[in-house]
Amino acid sequence: MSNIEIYNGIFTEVFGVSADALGASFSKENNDQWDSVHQLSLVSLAEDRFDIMLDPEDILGFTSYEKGIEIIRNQGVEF
Amino acid sequence: MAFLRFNGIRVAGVAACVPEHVEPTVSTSTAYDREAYMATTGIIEKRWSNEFTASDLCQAAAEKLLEELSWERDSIDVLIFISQTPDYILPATSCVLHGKLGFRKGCMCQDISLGCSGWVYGVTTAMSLLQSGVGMRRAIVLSGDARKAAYEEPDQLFGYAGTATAIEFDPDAVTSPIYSEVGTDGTGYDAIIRPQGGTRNPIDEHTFDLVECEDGRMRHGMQTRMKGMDVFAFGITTAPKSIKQLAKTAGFDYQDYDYFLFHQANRKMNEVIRTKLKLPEDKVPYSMTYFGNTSSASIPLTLVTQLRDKLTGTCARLIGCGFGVGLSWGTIAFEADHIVVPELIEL
Repeated sequence: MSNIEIYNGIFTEVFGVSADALGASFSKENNDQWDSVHQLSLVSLAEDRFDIMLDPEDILGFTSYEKGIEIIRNQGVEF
Repeated sequence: MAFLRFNGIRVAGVAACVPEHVEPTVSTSTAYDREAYMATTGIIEKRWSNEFTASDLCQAAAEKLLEELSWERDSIDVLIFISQTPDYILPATSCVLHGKLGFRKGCMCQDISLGCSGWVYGVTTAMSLLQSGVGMRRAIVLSGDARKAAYEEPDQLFGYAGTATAIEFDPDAVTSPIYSEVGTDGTGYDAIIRPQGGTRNPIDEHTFDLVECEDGRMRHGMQTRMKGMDVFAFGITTAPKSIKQLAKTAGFDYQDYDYFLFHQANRKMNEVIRTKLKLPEDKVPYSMTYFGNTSSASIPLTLVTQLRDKLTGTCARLIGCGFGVGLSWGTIAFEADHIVVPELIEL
């Protein structure tokens, strides 16, 4: 499974959406479901699946699909 | 990093007291019904009562513990009270408790204003005082919180509890060292805050006016606000780091420890911490399910309610880790060797 598929799978698991719904517009701002509990789930799954440790700033900044990719990429994960 | 090592010191006993009244979890959120709210927080019910202060509950725990330890009241050299809900702005609640418990006048009393990390701070402070004192041998650390209904929201996760921890120093005793690591990030002081009632924002005629907070909820100035995501981010990064750092500095493998007593924040957050540390479920007990988030009482309350049977008459290695308001954290690693743990007291 590619890293982008793993990443999309995290969003599918947390928000119950299909991969087609994911993209630049999928963010905290545009999604009523995206609260602190969902953000915690996203972050903890990302840390687990990619075997990374995020700083508090990264966790707080993980507020959109695209920002998440950028944060994980900064940890040395290639997409 | 503030790292401390203690020799010749033992935790002699731990007791806890809660109100008898059980309050089921409710949800006022439109996003979560009660079932979903309980699943996320891990809290089914809590103990609550407007009849008691934190010091009442701590006093009951202390009296029971002293009785079961057969410690004379005039043998106590240090009394520390940790809470965010003291009896008065002044005097210190430790002084009030000193009088009620009938300790001798030479006993050093001190309040510590901390929440979730408070028990680790209190125990660490007491141990430091005993180890550096001249002829000082025994300390009682009282920690707990009891928020009055007027300062609460109905779906708050906080339960009432008061605890007592007995600590003894014997410079000639052969005991396993106790290690502690404590720290603070004061840039996050407002992540959990009750904004009014202190000297920065004294109570005035508008204190109890309801104002809309960042999360859209209406609160008055004496109710606590929390930046949920900031606290989550702090907790799930700091707690694992603190435990790993303590183990590294002290030179032990934390996986060798028997139980991990985390501050009972909420289940989702604590499970993330457990997963990060790769700990099996049976090493991480929870008291929050039936007692809620009990602030500085949560670590000793978990010990009493979840480990009492397992610790009686035996020796186990424990790690306690608290994190929260401040932002503040602390981790302590110690051996519970035949410690006295009275049954949970209900008032």
